[in-house]
Amino acid sequence: MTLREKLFSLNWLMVLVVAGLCAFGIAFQYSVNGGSWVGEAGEHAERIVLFFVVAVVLAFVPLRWWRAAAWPAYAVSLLMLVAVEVVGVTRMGAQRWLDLGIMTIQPSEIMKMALVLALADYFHRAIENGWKGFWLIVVVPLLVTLLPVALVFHQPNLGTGLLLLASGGALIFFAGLPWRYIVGALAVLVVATPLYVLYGMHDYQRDRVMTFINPDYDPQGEGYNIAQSKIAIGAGGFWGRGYLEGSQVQNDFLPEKQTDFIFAAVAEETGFPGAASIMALYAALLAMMVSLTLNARAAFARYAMAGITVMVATYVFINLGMVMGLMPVVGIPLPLVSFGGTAIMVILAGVAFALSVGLNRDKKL
Amino acid sequence: MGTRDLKPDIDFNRRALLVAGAGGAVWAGLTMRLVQLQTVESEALRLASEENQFDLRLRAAPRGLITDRTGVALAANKPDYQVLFLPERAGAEAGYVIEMLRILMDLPDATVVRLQRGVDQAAHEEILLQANSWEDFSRVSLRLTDLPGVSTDTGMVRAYPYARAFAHPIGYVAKPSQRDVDRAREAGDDGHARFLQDPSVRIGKTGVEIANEAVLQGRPGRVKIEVDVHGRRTGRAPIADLDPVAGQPVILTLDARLQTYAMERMGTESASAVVMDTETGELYCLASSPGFDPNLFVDGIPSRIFRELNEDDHRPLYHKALTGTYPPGSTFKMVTALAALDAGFDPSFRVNCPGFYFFGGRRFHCWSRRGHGPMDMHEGIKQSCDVYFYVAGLQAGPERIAKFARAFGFGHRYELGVPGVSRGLVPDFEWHQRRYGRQWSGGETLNNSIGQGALLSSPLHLAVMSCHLANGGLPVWPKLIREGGAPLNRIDLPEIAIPADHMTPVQKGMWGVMNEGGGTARGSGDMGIEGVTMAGKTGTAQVRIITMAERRRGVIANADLPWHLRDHALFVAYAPFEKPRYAISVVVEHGGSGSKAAAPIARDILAQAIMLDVAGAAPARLDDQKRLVLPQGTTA
Repeated sequence: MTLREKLFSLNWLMVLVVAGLCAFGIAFQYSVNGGSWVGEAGEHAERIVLFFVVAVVLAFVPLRWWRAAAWPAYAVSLLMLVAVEVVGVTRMGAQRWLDLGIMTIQPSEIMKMALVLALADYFHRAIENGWKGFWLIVVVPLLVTLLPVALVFHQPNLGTGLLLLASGGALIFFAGLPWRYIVGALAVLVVATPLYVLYGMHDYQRDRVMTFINPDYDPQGEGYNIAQSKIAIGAGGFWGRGYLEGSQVQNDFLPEKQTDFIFAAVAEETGFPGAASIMALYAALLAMMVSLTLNARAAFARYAMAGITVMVATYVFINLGMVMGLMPVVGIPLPLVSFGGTAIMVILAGVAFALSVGLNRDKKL
Repeated sequence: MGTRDLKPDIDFNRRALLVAGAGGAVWAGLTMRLVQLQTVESEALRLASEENQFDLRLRAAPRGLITDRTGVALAANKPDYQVLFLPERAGAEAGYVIEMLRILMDLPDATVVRLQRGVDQAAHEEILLQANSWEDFSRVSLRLTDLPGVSTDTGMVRAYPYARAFAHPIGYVAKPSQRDVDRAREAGDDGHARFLQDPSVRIGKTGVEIANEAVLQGRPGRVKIEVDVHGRRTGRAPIADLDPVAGQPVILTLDARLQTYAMERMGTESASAVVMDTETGELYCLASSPGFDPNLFVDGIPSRIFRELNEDDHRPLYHKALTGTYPPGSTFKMVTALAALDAGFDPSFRVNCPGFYFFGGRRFHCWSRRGHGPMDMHEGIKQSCDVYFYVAGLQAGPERIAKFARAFGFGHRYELGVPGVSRGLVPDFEWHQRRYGRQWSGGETLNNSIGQGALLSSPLHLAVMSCHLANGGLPVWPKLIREGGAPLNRIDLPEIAIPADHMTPVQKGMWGVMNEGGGTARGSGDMGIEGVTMAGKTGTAQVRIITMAERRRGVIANADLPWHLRDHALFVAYAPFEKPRYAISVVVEHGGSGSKAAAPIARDILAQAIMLDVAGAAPARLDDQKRLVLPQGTTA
């Protein structure tokens, strides 16, 4: 395919959907910034435009390059996670950030993409080489997953850890994890979760879970956050209160409004049309990703797409569930709309990969 | 399929579709939740957001004026400049905010401590700071955006231009107490309870202010002020939510000039003076001395000053004219006389007074140890001979005396539109049985006859009695509120028709007290007004019991006793004798004798009332919209 043919066959609809989400992000970073570009809104806009352009360019990177980068990326991310333990920057009570001089990054975010690519490569090899059996198909990938998960949990970063576990686990599930193990794992989860909550969690994590179960138990005021978020969404009503007119947003009643609760800001100011548009854009993006997962020819592409789709979906669902008061506060942003650096970069890398898969749907590798 | 044959490319599509389906279900669930929040629950959440967005500030309506009979403002409103501080909203910047307020408003240390305490408790209630001047107020106003938790407001504050002269009848307003708030809440009126918690709200605490609270208060208005999460006002203008309805004025029967004069005339004495219209019952003067400044209470009285007022032995906070009760003493003798006449006693019958009277094996003394000699009714009243009234009282009998006492206004609680009106006490057989569990004894009749014993009356009762004596026994109901105010219940006094030939000797006796040689208040008879004379009667109420041993040694003169053991001096009078208009009672606590301490004050106040023509002054009134119309016809 020539570059011209490639440009022609690029999934422009996906590009448009992602651009739409980024536009929402830019518009509402401006809004929650008090209707000003000065500071974080401007920073966000510049960064996301840059990342977006890079993502579209990366779409033309051949799939084998992605595959070749998988294990090195996994190894580097793992090293960075260890580095975070040693020399990491502590913010908001958790050691998650690594200061690289030019920018601070969250290795756990990069690991999400790296883990998915590494496991996809593993399963590609397994199919190519006819590997089979429980040890090779379940235990080894599980170890590959649990290694970074353990490090991330230790930071502590419950949300990202769970997301990693979800994408890794999803890939093992797609690889054919027998149902009886799934049932067994669920049983273990049911027993182990309360024990973990009681003995394994940090106090603030436990508080979050307890607050969700019983909103009156709220030592950190997180019930307050959820309450304000619901108020913002509900006060917007069906038609919203108007852009830059939401009192919850503009008068700072909505907490964490740049990051975790940005969706509530959209819902308050633009009502159901705005909020539902964001959900529809995500639905479209995810549907296209599912289609790629099912239709790509190379196993690497299918597995990687499956992992990326699960990753984006869990991000979106957990964030929306939390903002609308259906889940405990876990500190997960809304991809592409929330303010953030590494997270946006990783999600756009996932989009770039999806576009790349779209161009190379029939490649066998 | 066994684990041995587990291969990663067999079940992939099926499972991927399964997960995608689950994802679709979650997406649908989230969409439904969004719809639920933005439609079904929207109403309630919108209200919650308004609670966040707006600070609902109640604004007390301008309080109704209280004026004297001619429309002179006795309780008015003046603008005041308030700075309000809500500690919970100052958050981490509280220390800075307090320091700024201290500098900008020149706050005293005690206030700074109070603010800091509010911050420590993260108080939910605003603390009100009264700006010393408009300059301080505007300095703070200009910096509001830098001072989280601070807001400013201009309101109206109650002011009492006559300060101490009207403190007792009018009372004062003050910040509602926790009890006021709790009571409103118990009554199920949460809105009112919240209103009472607003730091700028004042409610009546005593006097006319409390008894007519509902009329004076009006209905508070409400404004919505947009705030951010820190309580800082946003730039938007307050939104009027509910317009206040101003309180209605209350016109009193009092005359500002006469009341002020009476207060001055009583000086530093612990005394009271009541002036009443002998026909209409309107109170022209209802003064208790010493007074206090009710303005002190409006912003919260400093505890040191309150303690001083409360511990003063002259009891300035006490409304003596209405609340104070005293034995009427000799001022009661006219009632005894009329009861005796009713029982057939002959006014020209002479009773010999040797200075004492034997009854039931006991010696009952006359105030004159030497005795008055032969006394008829005229002389008996004029010289206030106790022995004469012992005999007259025995002729009348205790039940008849009690009946006449009630007809002359004793023993009733008058509803005037102020709290704290004493009932007084008129003893009779039934009361005596109930109180002591034994029968009435004749000695008690003698004591009652000269106004001692269990009889108790307030200066108001004495003034009502004077009215009856002046007008020939027509019933008169005392009246403090001329127009406006809460509705009052009137009880009808038991009426007794008094024949003129009974009334005349009593009135003449009272005239003699002031104007004839030997009258107990002869020295105070001259009013200094051509063609006007007055009739009166002195009284002395003992505070201590004089023992037989002391009588043998010689009764200690009042001047030699400590102040608090001296007799109360009483005086009742009316004028002009020729055409009665004003009745008065004066009680000087521990003033010694009625003739020396009380009579001159009463004479001067009566003379003042006549010279000012208090009853003839054009009155203010309320029009049908309850607006004040001044005598000149202008609307205030």
